[in-house]
Amino acid sequence: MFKESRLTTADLVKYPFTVEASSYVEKRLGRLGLEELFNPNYEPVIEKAILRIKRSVLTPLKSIQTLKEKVDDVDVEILSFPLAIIMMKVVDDPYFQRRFALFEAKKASSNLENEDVEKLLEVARKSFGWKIFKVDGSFSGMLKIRFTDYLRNASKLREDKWKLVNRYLEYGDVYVTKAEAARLLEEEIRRHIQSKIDEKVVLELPKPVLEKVEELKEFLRKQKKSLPEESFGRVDFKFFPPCIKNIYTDILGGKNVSHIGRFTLTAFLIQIGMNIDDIVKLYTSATDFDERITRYQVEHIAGLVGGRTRYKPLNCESMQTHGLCVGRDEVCQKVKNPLAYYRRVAVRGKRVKHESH
Amino acid sequence: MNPIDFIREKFRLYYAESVNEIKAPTFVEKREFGFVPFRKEKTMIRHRGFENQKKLQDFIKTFVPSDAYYSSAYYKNPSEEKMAEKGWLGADLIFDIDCDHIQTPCKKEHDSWVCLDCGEVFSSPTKKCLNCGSEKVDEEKWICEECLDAAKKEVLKLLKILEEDFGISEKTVGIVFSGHRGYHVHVENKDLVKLEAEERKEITDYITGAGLKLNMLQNLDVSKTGWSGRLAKTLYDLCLKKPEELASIGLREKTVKKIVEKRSQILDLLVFGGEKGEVEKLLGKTVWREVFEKAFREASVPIDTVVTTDIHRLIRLPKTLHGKTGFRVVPLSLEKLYEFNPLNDALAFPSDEKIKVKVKNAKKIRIGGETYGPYKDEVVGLPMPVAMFYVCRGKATPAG
Ligand SMILES: [Zn+2]
Ligand SMILES: [Zn+2]
Repeated sequence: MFKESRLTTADLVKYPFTVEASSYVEKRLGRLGLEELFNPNYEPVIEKAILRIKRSVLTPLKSIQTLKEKVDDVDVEILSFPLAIIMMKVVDDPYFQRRFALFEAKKASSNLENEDVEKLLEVARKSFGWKIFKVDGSFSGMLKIRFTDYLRNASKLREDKWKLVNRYLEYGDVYVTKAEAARLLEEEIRRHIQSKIDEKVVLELPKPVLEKVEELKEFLRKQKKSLPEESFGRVDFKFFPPCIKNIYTDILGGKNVSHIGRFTLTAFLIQIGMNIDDIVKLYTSATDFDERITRYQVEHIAGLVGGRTRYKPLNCESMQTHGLCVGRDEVCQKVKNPLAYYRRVAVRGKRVKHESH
Repeated sequence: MNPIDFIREKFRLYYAESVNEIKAPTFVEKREFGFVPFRKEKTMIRHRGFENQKKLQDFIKTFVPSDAYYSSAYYKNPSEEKMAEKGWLGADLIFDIDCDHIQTPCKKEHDSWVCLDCGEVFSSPTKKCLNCGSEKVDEEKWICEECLDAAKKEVLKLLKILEEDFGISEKTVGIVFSGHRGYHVHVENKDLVKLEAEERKEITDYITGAGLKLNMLQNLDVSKTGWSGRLAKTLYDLCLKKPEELASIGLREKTVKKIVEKRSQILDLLVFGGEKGEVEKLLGKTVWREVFEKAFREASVPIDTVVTTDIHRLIRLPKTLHGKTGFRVVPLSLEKLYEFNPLNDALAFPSDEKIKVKVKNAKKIRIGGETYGPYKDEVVGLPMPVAMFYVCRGKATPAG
């Protein structure tokens, strides 16, 4: 069926985001496309899509690598992926959307790492347009990848080894191991899935399916109760400046955030009155940070341990220098630091609320 | 005549004659332009867009800017004021190499710090006036052939890194003399326009060597590219130097001795490739650190990282004039760069025309192969490019 591809149908189960998987879905569903799935015959696909989403929330990031999934029906597996993406649009919650993208990407990446290298190359090239090749000679066993493909993904990773300056770079190609290529692909896949979720195309879900999604939303709402966001009290996310909002959602989505980014978010949250436990929970629930170390760092920034200085978040200028500023909105023009932004907007926000009563 | 009117009139004449030499940048209709007017209040006028080269030239000719810029970025609507509505489409990759970032011995001779309250001049950096205690001390940077040459050398290093490490051929790279203290290198390449700020940051860190971890590199080997190769090459060059040369670049006596003693072993390691850290073992920790520091500085290029990472940057438009020097912003091919001396080749005004200016207090400058100054409170007749330089720098006013 896929003469031109090295990917088997079993591979499409593992890599349902690939172009090959998309054309499989297209062929399988015919002219009606995904709407076909609302036919009662496809009940298992709907159930599977919901399960996919639930698992993305319930599985700790650390155990994704050892995750074993039982495949009963390849069709159900492959078809449930695009449906889950549509459901995530309806769920309309950035945290769970990011979490879903991250979960699927990590799962695929860990599979790719253990796969024959040719398959990894196939996915990277065909689905994401990477220029990636096997290397002969003294670097035999390694892969070389165009530096632009490398940077698009590695610039989001914070360890020293990902910095371009610590890489062997030759005529535009960066040398990486297969495991490293799989890690870089994880970033690419995550962004790809996220962009699919963010696409504005809406597919009307029929009532029975919508009801299921409502149940799913209820389930997610309950999950969220155990997350710090709800226990914010007087701290209100919608008053955050764009830069802090960005770091905050990155953390919630399990993305890599630079040390300075975490520092400034922590200092910000402390300054606006979020309690230490909630901040620690924020970091440990969404990432694999060690709780003990995280607590120490948060307490340090709060001035409870160490030098007893209560740190302030970076000001706008430093945020820009560190590349944390994501563009200034109207309020930004009037303030010099993220805290002033929050206070300004929060005061106004409360006033508006008051007036409207 | 007041100096601003004087400069503006000269600039007007220049543009009246030479505006046709100004080439619109590629995709001109997608670029934002900015102009600094000749006014006391020198706020830049931004968000200007032009459909074509002719309209750009016409504008410059009538407006007569003190300085003219265009965006490295491409926008859907370049003349929108709000960034969000501009619709960023991509940006060229730009590097800025400026004397400011290069340590040269000449700076001790020509840079000074001036107290704005009492007028006292100091030859070494100070924040507070040593005469009257005022904190209004202004750094006054000057240029000379030596530091401009150092900047050129760094450009050549950069071009090599772009070619060997990044695979960006010098043929696709534009080199521009900035009109004052250095050079810009433009890379227009469709694979690179979409690079985000943090990806560009990785490129600048690679070029400056920021965040380099020696233990993460390959072993030092002159046949390689990348940092391991470049460090190996600079170390190799270093080891070939005579003892007195090594001393003259500031290495301690002990270090020089050690290098001479281990020279042939080090060269062997660098050529035939040894184990990681072998050169370090051979030299000992402290000597190695000193040698490495030198090699590192030689292997890195001190680009201004902010210019490269700013994806909305405005950059000087080639063939326009620089308002602080009266020099021309000159686009250069690589062959031309080798020969290029800004203090001869970027002059915009005729050298055979002389004019009298009143100079308050100005250092010497070598322009057109002749040295002028220093001057203090005197009226001198100077060739136009020299007079313009002093007036533009605020050091002189037209006399009579
Ligand atoms: Zn003074
Ligand atoms: Zn100099």
